[in-house]
Amino acid sequence: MADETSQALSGLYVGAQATTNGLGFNLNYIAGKRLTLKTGVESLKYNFHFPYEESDINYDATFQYKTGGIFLLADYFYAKSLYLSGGVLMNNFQPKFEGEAASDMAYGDITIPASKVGDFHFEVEPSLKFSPYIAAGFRTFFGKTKMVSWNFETGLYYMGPPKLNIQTTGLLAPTSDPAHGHQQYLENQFSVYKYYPVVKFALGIRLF
Amino acid sequence: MPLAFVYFNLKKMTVMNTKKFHMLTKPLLTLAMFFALAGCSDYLDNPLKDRETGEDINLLVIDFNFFHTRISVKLADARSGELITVPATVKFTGNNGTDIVTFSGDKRTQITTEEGQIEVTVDPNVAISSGSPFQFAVHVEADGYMPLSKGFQFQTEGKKTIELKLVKISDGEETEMGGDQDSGSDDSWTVIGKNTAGLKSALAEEKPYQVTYHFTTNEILKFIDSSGQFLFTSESELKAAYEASPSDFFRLTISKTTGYDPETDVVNIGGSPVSVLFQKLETGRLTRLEIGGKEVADLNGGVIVLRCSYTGSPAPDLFGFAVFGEQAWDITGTETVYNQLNFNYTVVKASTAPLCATGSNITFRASVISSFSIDADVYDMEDNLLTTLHFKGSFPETFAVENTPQQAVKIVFRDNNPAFQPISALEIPDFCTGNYDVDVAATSGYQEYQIVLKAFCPDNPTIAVAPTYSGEFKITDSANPWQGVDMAGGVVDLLGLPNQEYQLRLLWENEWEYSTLVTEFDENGNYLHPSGSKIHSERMDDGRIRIRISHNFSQNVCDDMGW
Repeated sequence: MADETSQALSGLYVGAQATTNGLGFNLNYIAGKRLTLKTGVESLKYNFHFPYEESDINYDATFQYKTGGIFLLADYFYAKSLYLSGGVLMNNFQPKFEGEAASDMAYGDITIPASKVGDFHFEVEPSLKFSPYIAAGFRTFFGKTKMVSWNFETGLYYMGPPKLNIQTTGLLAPTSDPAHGHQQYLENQFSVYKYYPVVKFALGIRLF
Repeated sequence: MPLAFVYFNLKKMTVMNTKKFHMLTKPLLTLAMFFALAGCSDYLDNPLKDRETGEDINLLVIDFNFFHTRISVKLADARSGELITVPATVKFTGNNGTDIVTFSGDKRTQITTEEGQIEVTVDPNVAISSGSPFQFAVHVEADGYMPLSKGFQFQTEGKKTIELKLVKISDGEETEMGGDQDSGSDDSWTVIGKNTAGLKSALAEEKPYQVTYHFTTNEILKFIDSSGQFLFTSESELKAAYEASPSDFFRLTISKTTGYDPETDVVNIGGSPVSVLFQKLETGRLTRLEIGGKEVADLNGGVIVLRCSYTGSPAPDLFGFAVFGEQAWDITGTETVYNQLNFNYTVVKASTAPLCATGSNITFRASVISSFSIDADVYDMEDNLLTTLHFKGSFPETFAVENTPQQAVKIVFRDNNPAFQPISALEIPDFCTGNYDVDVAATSGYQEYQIVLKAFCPDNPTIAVAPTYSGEFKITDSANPWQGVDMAGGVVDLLGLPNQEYQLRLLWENEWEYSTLVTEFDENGNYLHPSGSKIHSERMDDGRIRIRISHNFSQNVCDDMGW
């Protein structure tokens, strides 16, 4: 009876998902009772402009959170609705933090023009462009004909130690000078952040 | 490990029946969760705390690179050439005197130092060009030295070194002069520098000028002695005293200094300050005046007239007594009147030939990667010293020499840097034009290093300073002179001998900040002398060794910077 139900639910589903790695679309193929193949794309961009002060210097700062990617996953159902998921994500994780001096800088008795104070640009990239993914999830179906699927899963992308790209000008210029090795220092400091946590909600409608 | 774990469980699960599976699923998932969380446990650590020390991390490295013109003012003993070590006060005046600031950004028109050197900079809002030169004067008063004033006109931005040669008061020549009544005059008395018997010193040396002292009877009758009594109560008493002992009726003791080097200085000509070739011929101070055997204590409203005349040939364009104003010399003429005893005077000569705002371009080249500080003396083709130049930069670097005379010159580079072989003299047919290369070779045995300095304040590890600054470098306790180095953004390339202990120092306000390092490394370029000052090294791609120094500023430096 269960096999019959599973066979009835097999097919190609198209849907959308909301995850901590972005909003996107997915295409699921339920191959049988145990296996579902998933692919899709997701993206998240968020720009946050704010004033930022560091060492008595006022900056117009922008935090641009950008993540997402194209994934290819396989879900293995060890129970009717519970599954373990694994696969790979072509990672588009790339947050940026940048800013430029918003005003002249008071320095002792003189004023340093904002143009000479300079700007900064910090960008994070995953060291693995293709990130392995594992997750555990739950799936169920709705409707009389079970045409609609709903998934919840939580897991991790392994991005590797993040790579940092620093560009600075003006008085911050040494921060990005390779001679100071500051990029490596900060990369080492943030190297524990190798995993990207994922919480995902997905809906799908069976096409055929 | 997590992937292997997943694979293991999946494989197991395929052969289990559902019941058995459910018996294992919960503990396995719990275990998986445990490993996942264990992998993420570091996420709970504050990334803004250093992973090794637990202190706040160094987030930013900043520089003073907004200052485009840096000035090293060196106060050197004129005789020894060494930096003076007595307290000295340096004052800045002139149109741009108030635009000189410390590296803390403080406008300081007066700075006191005991190091014989100060490092200052220029307000970056003040543009400098030949059309708008940076005009100022430096006045130095140092214990035991003659006061000194000198004017400057910077035509370009960049690194400047001002070397001021101070003459010790004790190095001045104590000269006694004698004189008597002018021939053919009953009322005029002249004292010239003639030899007088029994005097402490004499003007045996021929000079191309003469300074004379002139008195009139009416003025002499106003002079009083230390008891407040007139030296002579009447003209007849004065004449009687003279007739009784006419020889050396006047005896003047003058502390004078001669032998000043020619240099460029700023002179007011036609009401405008102009950079010219300039030479102080003589500075002097009247320390004692005796008339008819009686010492004058006060002129009491009387005056003494000084006259000077140029006796050599050819006569200079400008000659006479000079006083320094706010930013330039005023050559007041060949006669000056003093109504006080113990007056100072200065006799100068100058050329009115205009100097070129910017002259020849000189490029220093070397086959090594290094910073350099090279001093040079500029002579005319008759070997008369014209001026002194100071070059500080990194190979290859081109300097446009400022305020140059339009004539043929010979630049003789001083051999005072042990890292470089002696540099051949450079002859330039017209110092106002042309491009010239100077090839510099490293001394055998010296190796190239790169030093990278970050300095921290004790209370603020978040921000480090990697200064664009002038520093000095030498082997610890060696007799070698300190070598100037030009640090940009905390990075300086230099030459050093292997297996030596070196000191690198930066002058902040009135205090040297020292870092010590040893040029000894293992075969991989790792530093072999661990120290509390956090020195690390690595071999660079080009084979050189980079030495990274984390230096802790003393608190007063941080206080100056407001950190």
